[in-house]
Amino acid sequence: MKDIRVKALLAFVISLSVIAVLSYLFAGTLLKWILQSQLTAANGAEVNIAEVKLGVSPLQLRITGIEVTDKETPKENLVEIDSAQVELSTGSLLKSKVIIRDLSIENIRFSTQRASAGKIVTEADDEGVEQQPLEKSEGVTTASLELPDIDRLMDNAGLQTPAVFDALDKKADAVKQSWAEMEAYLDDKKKWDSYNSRYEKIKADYKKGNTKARLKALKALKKLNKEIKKDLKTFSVQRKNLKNVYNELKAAYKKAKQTPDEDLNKIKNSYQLDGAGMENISRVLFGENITGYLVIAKKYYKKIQPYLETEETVIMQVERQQGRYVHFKDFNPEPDFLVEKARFSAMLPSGEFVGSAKDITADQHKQNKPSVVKLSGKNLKHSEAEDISLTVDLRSKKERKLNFTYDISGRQINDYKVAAGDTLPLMMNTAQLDLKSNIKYQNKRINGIAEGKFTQVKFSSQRDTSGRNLASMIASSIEKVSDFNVDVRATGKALKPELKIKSDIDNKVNKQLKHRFKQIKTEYEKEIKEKFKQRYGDKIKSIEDKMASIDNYKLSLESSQDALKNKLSRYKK
Amino acid sequence: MIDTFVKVFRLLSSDVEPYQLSLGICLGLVVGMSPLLTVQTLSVILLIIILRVNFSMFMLSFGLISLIAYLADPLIVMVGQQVLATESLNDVFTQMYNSGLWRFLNFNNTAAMGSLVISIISFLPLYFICLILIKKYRDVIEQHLKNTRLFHWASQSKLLAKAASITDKVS
Repeated sequence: MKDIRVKALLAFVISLSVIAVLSYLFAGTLLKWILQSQLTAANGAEVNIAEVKLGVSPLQLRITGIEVTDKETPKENLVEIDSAQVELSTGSLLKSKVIIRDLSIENIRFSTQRASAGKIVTEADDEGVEQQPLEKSEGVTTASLELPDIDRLMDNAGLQTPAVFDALDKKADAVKQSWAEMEAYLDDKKKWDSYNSRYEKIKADYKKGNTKARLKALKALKKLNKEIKKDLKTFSVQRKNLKNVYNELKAAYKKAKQTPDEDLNKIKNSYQLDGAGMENISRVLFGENITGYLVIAKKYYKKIQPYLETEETVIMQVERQQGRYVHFKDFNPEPDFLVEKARFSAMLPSGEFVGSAKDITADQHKQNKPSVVKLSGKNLKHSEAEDISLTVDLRSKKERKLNFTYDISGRQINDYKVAAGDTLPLMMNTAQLDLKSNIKYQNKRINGIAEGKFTQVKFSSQRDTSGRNLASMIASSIEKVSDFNVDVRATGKALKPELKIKSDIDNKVNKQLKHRFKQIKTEYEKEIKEKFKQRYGDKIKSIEDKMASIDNYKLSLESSQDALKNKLSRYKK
Repeated sequence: MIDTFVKVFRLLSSDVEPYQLSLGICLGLVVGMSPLLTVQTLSVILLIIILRVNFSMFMLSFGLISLIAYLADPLIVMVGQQVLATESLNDVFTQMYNSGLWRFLNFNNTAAMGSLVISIISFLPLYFICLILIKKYRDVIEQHLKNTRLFHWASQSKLLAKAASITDKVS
């Protein structure tokens, strides 16, 4: 005994006992402090824990009243959990492995109000998730959804009618003027009276006069004859020219008469009213929302991408005096972290969800089991049932797989904005949805299918459905649809999948749309004709009148010509 | 440095049993060699508290061996690696590896194993060598030194006494 320090031994035993008792008594408080500070640092905002209780056999922790501050809105909790119970494997802890045999989380709630605003310890980290612009949906564009303004169409069509008819008008005026002059010449009474009186005088002088007087009369007659011949020659040339000009005018008029029809065709060809692009209404209607969901999915994918795509082995740098651990055959290989079983319940805005999880670990190859999470909600506020399941298979480093399913039955939809914007604002007032969706991920590629069946649908649009623009036509047709299916497929590269949207709404809408479209087209074309007539009708009418009057002149001239012949035949005798 | 020498000479010349001094040196070797704060290290420290081991000699030995161990780390790790890779011991190590307690003791760490093996191998030889040397010092060298002028000067030197007292107070 002389070689043993008895007092020191006693002091050691007492100290150890005191430490053990104090540790046991204050373990909860100590763990609470450690957990709070660690979680706060990880979250970047205050995390509060009401109580932590430690159980020794089996080793378990019961944490109650967990409040995780939302660093964006510190007056709200990101998550609030009533209680979480963790049962740990003691033997595994000795091997520096955290094996949670059973995890139970009760009443998870999101976005709850805090009694006081939580402290923010770090700036909100901007993870740089790109706000990608929404992919433009193909099909109906804003322009093609509106019927073009007729006046603008006519202004921009480069119409020939006004120019052609103006030129024709001028030409007709000139011809008319010439005809009038010629008629005036033929109807020049003073001239003809003068010729007549001269002729009568010559005739009288010749009858009663002597030879000299007769010779003088003959000379006067010769002069008169010469003048009349000259007049007739002039008249003949003018008449010939006028006839040519008249023929030209007639030909130009004949050609000009076709111009309005040609212009109308030109106007019709300057806009498209053939319903092209109307065959994929579903993409126009649902494309915007679906691409929105895809953007969200991509955001989450980017967060889990490192876990799904890490293939290289990290080589640890050995520090001096730390050595390295040599691993032997493990009879019961265990991951460094594993949640064998977990149960949780969450209160979401749509109702209560109950979930379970199995084999949650990053070292799945040690267990040879994939991680499975299931979540289901029954008798929810807006649906009969909702089931979500996620299977993450990281067992093979080369082929990491993910399988996500989301099934909804009897989901009541109220006031769901199908398509926003001014082009075709459309609201699904009421509907019932049954959805089956599945997304499979493998080798950085996805294959996603979502099949939705909408029944008892009631659409409404803010557009005037009696309107004649295409958006109103579509709105009017859609409002008549009471049930339809939507089939969405996303395949290809996980970050840039090809999206295909199919729906029988296309056929349903198109059938009604085509009928209405034909009606509108006829009405529109009629309107164009009316407008054309309004603009150029008078001009065309005036030309027609002028041409008619020219024809009248021609007739009267011909009768005048006959009269002239009669008159002249008198002088011949 | 001077203080250390003075202390060593004082201890060697004191009435402390040679085995206590020798054990202090050897346990200092065990703790000093170990690079990690393991359960083994804590157990040795407990032994030092309980047994009548000379604590000053333990601290001196621990300081010196820690320095040597730091410099010889690659060698220690290599020894641990060789031991853990020994084919004939593989079954034993596999059994130990599957035991939570042994894993907790970090037996599969190359640095821990290397230092443990070196400590165990050198513990007894070092103990006996130190024991013999201390006895020899007391029987032969100390008597011889007492007759030298340097010893007289050193024992009467006010400067050395002052330095020793100051370091005593500080420690």
